[in-house]
Amino acid sequence: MTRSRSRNTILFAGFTLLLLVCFMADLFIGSVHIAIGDLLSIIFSGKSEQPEWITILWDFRFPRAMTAVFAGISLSLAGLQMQTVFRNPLAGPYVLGISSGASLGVALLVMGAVMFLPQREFHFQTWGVIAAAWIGSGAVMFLLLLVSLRIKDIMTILILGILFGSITIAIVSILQYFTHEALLKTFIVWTLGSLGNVTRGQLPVLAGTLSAGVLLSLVCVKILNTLLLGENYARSMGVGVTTGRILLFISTSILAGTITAFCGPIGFIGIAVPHIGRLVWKTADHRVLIPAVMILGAIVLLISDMISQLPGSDRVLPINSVTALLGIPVVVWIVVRNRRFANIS
Amino acid sequence: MRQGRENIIDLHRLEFGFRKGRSRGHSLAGPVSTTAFGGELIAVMGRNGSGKSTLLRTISGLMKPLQGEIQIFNSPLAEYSRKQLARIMGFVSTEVVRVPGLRVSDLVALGRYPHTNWFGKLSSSDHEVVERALDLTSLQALRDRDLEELSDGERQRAMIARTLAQDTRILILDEPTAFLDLSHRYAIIDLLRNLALEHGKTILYSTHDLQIALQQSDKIWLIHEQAILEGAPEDMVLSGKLRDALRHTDSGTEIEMDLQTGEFAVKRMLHHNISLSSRSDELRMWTNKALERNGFKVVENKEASIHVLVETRDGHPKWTIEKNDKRIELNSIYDLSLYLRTIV
Repeated sequence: MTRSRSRNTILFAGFTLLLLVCFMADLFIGSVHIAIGDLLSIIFSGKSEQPEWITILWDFRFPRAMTAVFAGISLSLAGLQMQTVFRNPLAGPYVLGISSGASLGVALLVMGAVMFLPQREFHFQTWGVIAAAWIGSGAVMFLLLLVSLRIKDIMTILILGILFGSITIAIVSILQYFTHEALLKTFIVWTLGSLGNVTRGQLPVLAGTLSAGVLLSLVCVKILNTLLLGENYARSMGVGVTTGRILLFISTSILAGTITAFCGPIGFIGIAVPHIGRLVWKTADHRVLIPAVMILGAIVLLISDMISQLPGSDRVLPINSVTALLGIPVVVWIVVRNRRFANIS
Repeated sequence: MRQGRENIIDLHRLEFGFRKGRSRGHSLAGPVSTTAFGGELIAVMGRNGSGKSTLLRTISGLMKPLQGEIQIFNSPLAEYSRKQLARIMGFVSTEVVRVPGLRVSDLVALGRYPHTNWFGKLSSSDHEVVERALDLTSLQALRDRDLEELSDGERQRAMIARTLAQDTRILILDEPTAFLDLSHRYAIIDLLRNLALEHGKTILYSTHDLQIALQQSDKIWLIHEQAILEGAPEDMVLSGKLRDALRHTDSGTEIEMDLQTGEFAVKRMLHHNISLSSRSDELRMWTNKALERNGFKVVENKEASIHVLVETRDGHPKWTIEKNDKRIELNSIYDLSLYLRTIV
């Protein structure tokens, strides 16, 4: 027991250090080259020979890197929770239909509104898009909460979540079919995901909301651990399973819904990172896994962001493609390693 | 430290079964009234579908009774909060739990959850209880193993250890010996027996294993024709209740209980008479079994046309068969069976 505890301490220290390194590296990478010495002097003394570098760092790269950290934390934690609640290794933050709900909200705003109003320019950074995505994912969550109050069987809830998602995708398709090309592109670009749309002023809002989600998750740490054994065992150990599920659904919706609202849907991080966490820390205990996947998620998304910047060029890849390219091999590995899937559910 | 007649679990005109929507539901048995006393090891028996699991789940509070009431320590089950209940009643289901990365010691420590704070932090006394649970189930050597790596018997022991760490007066186990081989079945039931005897726990377990239930339980609850028949295993045998309840199978095959041994055997049609003589009771008994399986009825010498003589020569048993003055000597019961099939 003490040996595994000291091993954990070393792992946490090591990965926290790696996180700091990745964060600095992410600040360093971008289309404009800023030398490390200059970078450090901007950070620590706030001065630079070239004033526009200060702007580049504080108004563009810093919010972007912070967003990557927040998104990595949120999506990985949401994924961990959903894998435990559904006892399914392929569950992720979007299994409840949160991203499709958000898509519907954004689609209704971007494309639906135009049906009634004359064509207009649309900007992503606006609170309108964020609010629309939030309301969309919130609506899906609300529906699922109602369902889980009535229905106790977790597989039924999972299937209904997937079906809700499919319905919203169908509605989004109809909207896409009838909309203008320009607006369609606007929407498609949103679905590709981006870490660069969050402004410095929005960061505190993002941080505050996500903290609520993390806090809820921590409150549920015992429930999560007992749910590993299934709901009957959880009940027999004094856990209110329905209440626990609802708290965890709310936490997941806050975490995944907020990130989707600000950055668009970012796939595969939430499925892959919890597995990496279990593998590295060699445990199923959520008291270790929650901080573990938060740190790992932040690191993975920072690395994804660096790759998406295509260092050495001034082009940028959509973040969603990068996370898919990084995450899918991990998911493939999980599927191949775990051939006995039939036994898990 | 056996508790005397302390009422631990009381069923009052209990009717249990499945609830379907808002209708009254499908009743499996009831109304039944009975009591489990302190320190008793009770085997819940009955045929497939008779409601063993449902009864155990209803008593555990995982399912609601259709009618009637359950009292735990003389208070209605419904008045306990989930948390209070978790401190007096532990539960082991038939479900095979597979959690990658979950170590045996962590699994057992989960049992302490009803006693710990919101973060599940274990105090030194909690750790002691966990250690004792690992000791009692002989799991110390496996404590750092991943649950996935355990055999069925070891996993079952680990699940029981978790319940022991929960430190409850009542244990409820749904088919704890399913999937286990004979020696592991005995090991598990022996463990339960000790827990009841030494630690005064009241233990309810369901099983299809008649032999073990007869030998090791204080009491049998037999669910039969919507009622619970109860009594010491020996009473159940002597009164013929067990025999009557278990005799008929759905497929029409009849099984008959041997009142001497408590063993059940398929009732056979015996077509041929045969005589059997041996000085060794053991050889006679086992040869007799083989003869019956092959459709022979063992009768007196003069009523039979085929005669079997078993004797030990040079330390090896020999079977001599005589029919119409023709004699043949064989070395095993298997050879005997093969031969008998050729001559009738």
